[in-house]
Amino acid sequence: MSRILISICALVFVLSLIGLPFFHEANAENVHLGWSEDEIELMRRLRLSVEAVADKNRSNELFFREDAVELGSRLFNDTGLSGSGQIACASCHRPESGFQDTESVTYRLNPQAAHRAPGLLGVAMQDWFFWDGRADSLWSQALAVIENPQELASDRLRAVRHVCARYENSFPALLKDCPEISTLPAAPWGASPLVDNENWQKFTAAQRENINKMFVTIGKSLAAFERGVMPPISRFDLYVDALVEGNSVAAKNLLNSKEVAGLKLFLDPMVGCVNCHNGPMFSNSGFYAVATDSPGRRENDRKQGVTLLLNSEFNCLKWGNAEDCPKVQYVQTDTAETAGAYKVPSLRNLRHAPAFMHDGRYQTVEAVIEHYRNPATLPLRHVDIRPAALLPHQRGQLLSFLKALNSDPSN
Amino acid sequence: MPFVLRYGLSKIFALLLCGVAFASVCAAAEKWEVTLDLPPLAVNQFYEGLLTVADSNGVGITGLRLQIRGRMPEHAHGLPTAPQITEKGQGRYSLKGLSFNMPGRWVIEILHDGETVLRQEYTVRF
Ligand code: HEC
Ligand code: HEC
Repeated sequence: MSRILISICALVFVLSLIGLPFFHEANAENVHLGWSEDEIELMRRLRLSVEAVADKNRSNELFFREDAVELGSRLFNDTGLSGSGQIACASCHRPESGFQDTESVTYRLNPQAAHRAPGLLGVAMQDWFFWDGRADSLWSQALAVIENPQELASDRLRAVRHVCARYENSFPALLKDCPEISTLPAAPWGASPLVDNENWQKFTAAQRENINKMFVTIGKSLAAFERGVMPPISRFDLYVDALVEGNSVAAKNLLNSKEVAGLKLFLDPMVGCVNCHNGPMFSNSGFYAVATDSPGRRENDRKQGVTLLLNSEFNCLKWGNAEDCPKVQYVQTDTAETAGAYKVPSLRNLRHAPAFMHDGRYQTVEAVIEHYRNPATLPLRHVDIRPAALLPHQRGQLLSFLKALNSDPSN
Repeated sequence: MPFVLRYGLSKIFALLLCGVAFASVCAAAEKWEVTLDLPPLAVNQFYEGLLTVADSNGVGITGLRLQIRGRMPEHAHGLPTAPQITEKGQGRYSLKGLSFNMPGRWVIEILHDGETVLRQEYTVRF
């Protein structure tokens, strides 16, 4: 009898030993809904945070100035910055629609435009601007737009004169160099080394420097305004908070099981999305070839962007300290890496985007996911992705996860 | 295989020749001690590293034109930046501008005259 008791005791003991780890595992799963510590850590890095924004805009001393934010916000809506007097930044970047070009103004102005206008939510968090990354700062990006014949189609002299005439009285501190501008010979024409070099050369070096300084102030004020253009929190962000707090009840109410399955796929190394789409804006700031180039046509890819960047008079090396701009100093120029590559875009608030990829080739996110399942690769072409093995129901899960990145809580 | 990769085929060939050929060939084939010192790596930061190259007696080799190459074995692409290597004297070289934007397994190679003199694997974290 006692022998039987002892053996039962031993059996229970052995079973409990075997069962112990399982029991613990189940417990942990309850708190974290089946996510591992590593996965939660990874999700924390995807959570929205604007921490990096100051560091990324170090070259803009006006970035946090209230008067610059105010001037920038007026300029963003000011059609006077355009050559035609008809369009403003806000024409192509609609504030009510995630600053996306919902009316396709870009293509109406130039049906051959190489790139579609991206939305601007969170743009101040980026390292590079434009799909080819030809601008290395938010402020120099704005200057390129003003002088781009396909966009605002103006020139720096006209822009500076306009800003002084309209805003000098309201922003005396910011526009303290306007008196110098008013001493320039009055002339109906514009001037810029890029679009009107003949006129530009009529000015002395000192005058050209003054114009450039004022022009840069315009760009830095627009960038200061864009600092406030941030995506609101999404359900995904709140889900991460709930996981970190161990609040599984709240987490379950934030993402449904289909969205969680999509999130799992998104983080899965075999699917690979998170390799490129990571960080708080779901972009690793890199340039990759994902089989979206159009061989035979002019590429407008990173390869060309690097050349334009290094030639730009407003890049960080030419308009700042070399120590402050390792990303330009050590920029990858190897065309094996840059050909056919485009900037990794953010995946937040895709619902506002009228089309997808740099050239707007897809109208729906479903079509983008289908692209990743079966990228049209050509022989001898360098591509950084492999076909993602996604079953139809998994594509649906991925899609519903991407929708949970929209800021509108009802989405 | 690791030996072949580390010293390059031509150097191994030169080593075989040593018994019969000129001393200078032997010198080139001599075993180099190459080290690269890097901190733990994460995405989206810039790193500097110290490279040392010494002969088998531990004497630093100067005047080398070294290059760096990096790739992810699981992916098609290489380094997102173009790091530069400059000489510091006494066989020391500084590596600047190294950065990664994809987490995972990376292979970093240091090349001299197109031959790999060091090959190291790193795991880059988020
Ligand atoms: C005619 C339409 C149009 C106007 C007007 C316009 N943009 Fe854009 N914007 C675009 C297009 C198209 C792109 C992408 C161009 C490219 O990548 O080559 C772009 C890109 C940008 C980007 C880079 C976003 C990124 O993710 O890289 C910023 C920032 C931006 N615009 C701000 C502005 C500002 C500020 C103004 C006013 C000074 C402005 N835009 C006026 C069409 C426009
Ligand atoms: C190798 C890096 C890389 C990987 C892996 C990757 N992407 Fe992308 N993604 C990009 C780049 C680069 C673009 C822009 C391509 C272009 O503009 O032509 C892009 C564009 C997109 C867009 C369009 C966004 C827009 O505003 O136009 C979506 C959506 C997207 N990716 C989702 C995903 C999903 C889902 C996965 C996983 C199945 C994934 N990506 C994997 C690099 C990557």
